Amino acid sequence: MEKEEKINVNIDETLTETENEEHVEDEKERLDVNLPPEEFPNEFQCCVCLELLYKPVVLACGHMSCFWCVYNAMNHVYQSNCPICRCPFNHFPSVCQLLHFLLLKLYPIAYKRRERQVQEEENEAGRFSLQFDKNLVEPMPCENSDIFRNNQNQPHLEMDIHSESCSRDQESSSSRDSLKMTMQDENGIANKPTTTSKDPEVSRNEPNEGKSWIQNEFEHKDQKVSIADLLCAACKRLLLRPVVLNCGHVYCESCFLIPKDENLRCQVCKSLQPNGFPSVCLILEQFLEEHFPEEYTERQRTLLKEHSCSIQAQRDAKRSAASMSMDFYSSWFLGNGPKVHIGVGCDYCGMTPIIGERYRCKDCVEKIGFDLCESCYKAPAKIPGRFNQQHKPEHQLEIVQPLSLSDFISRLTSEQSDDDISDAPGHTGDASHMPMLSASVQQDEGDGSQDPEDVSPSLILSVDVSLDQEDDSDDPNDNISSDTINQGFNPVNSCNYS
Amino acid sequence: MKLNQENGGPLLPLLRSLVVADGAGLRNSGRVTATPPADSTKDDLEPLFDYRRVQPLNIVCLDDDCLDTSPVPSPKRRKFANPDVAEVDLDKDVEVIKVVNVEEEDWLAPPPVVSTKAYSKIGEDSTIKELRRRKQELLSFAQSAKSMLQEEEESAKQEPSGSSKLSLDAVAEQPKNPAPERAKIVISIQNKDEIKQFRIYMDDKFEKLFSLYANKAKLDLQSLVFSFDGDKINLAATPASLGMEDDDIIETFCLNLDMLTMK
Amino acid sequence: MSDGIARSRLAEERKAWRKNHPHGFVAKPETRADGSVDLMVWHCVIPGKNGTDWEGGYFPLTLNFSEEYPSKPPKCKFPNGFFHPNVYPSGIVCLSILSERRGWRPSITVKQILVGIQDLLDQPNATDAAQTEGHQLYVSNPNEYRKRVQQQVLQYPQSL
Repeated sequence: MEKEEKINVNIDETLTETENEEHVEDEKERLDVNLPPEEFPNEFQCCVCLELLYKPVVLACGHMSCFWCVYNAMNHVYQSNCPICRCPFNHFPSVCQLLHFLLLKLYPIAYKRRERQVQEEENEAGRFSLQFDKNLVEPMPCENSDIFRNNQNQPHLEMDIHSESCSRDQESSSSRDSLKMTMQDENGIANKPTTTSKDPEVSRNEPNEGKSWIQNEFEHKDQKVSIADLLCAACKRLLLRPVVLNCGHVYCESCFLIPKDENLRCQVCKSLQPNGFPSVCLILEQFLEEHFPEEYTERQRTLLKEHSCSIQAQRDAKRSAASMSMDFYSSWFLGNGPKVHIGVGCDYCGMTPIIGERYRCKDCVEKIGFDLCESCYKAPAKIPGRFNQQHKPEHQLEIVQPLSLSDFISRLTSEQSDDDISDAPGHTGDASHMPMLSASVQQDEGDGSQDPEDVSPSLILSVDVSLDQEDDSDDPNDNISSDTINQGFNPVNSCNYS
Repeated sequence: MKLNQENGGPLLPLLRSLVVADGAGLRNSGRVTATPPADSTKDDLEPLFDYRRVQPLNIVCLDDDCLDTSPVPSPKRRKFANPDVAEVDLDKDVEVIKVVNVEEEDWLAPPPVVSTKAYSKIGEDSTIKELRRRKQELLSFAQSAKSMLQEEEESAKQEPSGSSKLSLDAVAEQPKNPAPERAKIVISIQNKDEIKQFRIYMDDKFEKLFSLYANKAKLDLQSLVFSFDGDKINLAATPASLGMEDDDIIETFCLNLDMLTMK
Repeated sequence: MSDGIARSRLAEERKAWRKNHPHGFVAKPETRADGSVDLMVWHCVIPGKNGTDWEGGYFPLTLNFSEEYPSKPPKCKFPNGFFHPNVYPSGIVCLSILSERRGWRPSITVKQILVGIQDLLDQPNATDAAQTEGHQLYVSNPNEYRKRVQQQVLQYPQSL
């Protein structure tokens, strides 16, 4: 790492062996050419696909990636890990619309290009993500008041989306209103001088005087970002230490309150926050600091006055990462515990895989179907599904039993051809799975008993509390045997996977 | 949110995860659940990639993949930030380049002009577009709004367009010689310690660039080896012949005596 | 399920690599006999770190990417019989960040992999033996181990 830093520094000192005018003029050329490719800063590059973030999803650890990049990197059987820090999570968050519109506004051309690209991929794969930006191309006249109504209106607007459902064509009609409101901001509010001067693209253009007026025009047209695009869902002020919830709403860290009953809940859409108290999204924070330096320091100063250590401590405690209790898997293998629905996620809270009862929509015909977990079925959220399901309230839901272990194995063996079972050589082949499986069943129980605290509080929120207790009870039985098995298995495994 | 079961794809994650259920997988994950995630990542990755400690933002900065687009001022931008310093440097370099190119002066002179012209073409295009757009805007304003507003708009717009014409004229004077276009390319030369950028013609032999580089580094050209993508660059090769693109890196190695004798 | 992302990601990686990479390293996708490029196989060279016994060696490494990259790590392979405690006899490198279960993250780039392996060369992990010869010498006979490393360095000189 150090090494790379050094390289960075060196490049800064680089001398460029070019004639001066030529260089300037070349820079201008680049500006014109700039329109098709449109460069974006590194911070908004998705670290999975290495392209501009598209439909950004922010995980509880504060890292973000594209919607499909997160989805594809998830482990649909088991606990998933953040593609950046490996922080474990088991809920697939919703797209962060604030960031989505921010990026669209900052890099309209590159973002549109990504949109086309992703849509092609989606068409090919026959699966679709939610669309919320159809109407954003043509700006609308507006009044300032909309900005402030915008966030408050969100719950019922989302209901609109929900009820009208999210087919790509239909949805635009219902969500159009809500989304237009979001987009009206830039016309209504004068650009902050800091925004323009701080913007990397703009500052880069400054030297080209001959060109600058055109550039200003573009700027005008492209509606630069204003504070109104970066408001906290609760306090409606500029975000301070932004945290993004599982539902995609963004709060100041200090505005996302921990209620007395300890169940973190989004104050806007009322959906549970399953992954513990989210970490600050540092990329967004840095963006705020850079683009609104005065406002941001001002906000920091005011917060300092209100700041209370105990609350911070409480937050940190809540921040304990969500982790899937291994017990659920043992129970799945043994068939005695809560049901684990492999490869199925809840469309409201994002829990993947669904643990407990699974409610499947009989009327949704999309390739990626519509499913709910038990708690979301009982307390329906007012948000659309994670994908483009055209789910409607009148649709019928049915309880579905999980795949049994034997079903699962038979499916596995029939799909073996892809041979991606193991990353170690000489480790593939059907035969090797069976003994592994039986061993692991015992082993994970052993782990559960050694680490009783590993029952994550967040999981309890979304699953029945009794499930955990039930599981804990069968732990001690296997304690000893699992230890021996540990020893038996370790050398092989640690070697193979290291 | 059920996985798509039809194309065989969805079961791949299942397969993958089943294996997770073997001894190491579960044990490992068990540990992860037991300890705060910070520790578990640190265990594995301490020497190199402890993103948690570094914080995600810094990863991006540390990662030097996209210097051009990074928010940190890249070399080019920095030059604009303090043009005085840069100009001195550049002037010197220009001279050096000219010395090297004396024998080819006749076809060397036009290129800057050509590209200026290229620029002005593009500039004109977009300028015309801009003007057209503005005209339409004005028309619509005229239809809809009061004449006062209209006037104000006009006076406001006239100013920038006037100045743009001026700048365009200035630019337009220069192109006079439609010499054959020679594409140029920016190439970085990286040695152990630093990267330097150079701009050369796509069809120029590397010999010229390398001897320039050796001069500047006060080294004998014979003691330097240049390589692109792991292959030694022949002095007679050109960027075009190697299929190079803008911002490609050439690496240079100093041959020491041992290596010379080995050869 | 990662429909086609592997190739586009690798194309981006390659683009970034061409613009910037650590000195002495090589990483390029395979060129097939017909001149077309296979992005799924990369031929790399890792230089031994300066100031270590590995200095002066330029070790060839092949990266094999699967269609599921970057969800899954690539297989990284030195030549058969490469001498290092954490390299399997087949040449496959045993490193935590290259294990899907232990340390792999989709955000790890080719550059980070290569730098990571360069670090591993001089800092083997004694607890994760992948070959008996290298491991035993490393643990029990440091002098002989160094000798073998230096021999191997001579075996892989710079190809310029």
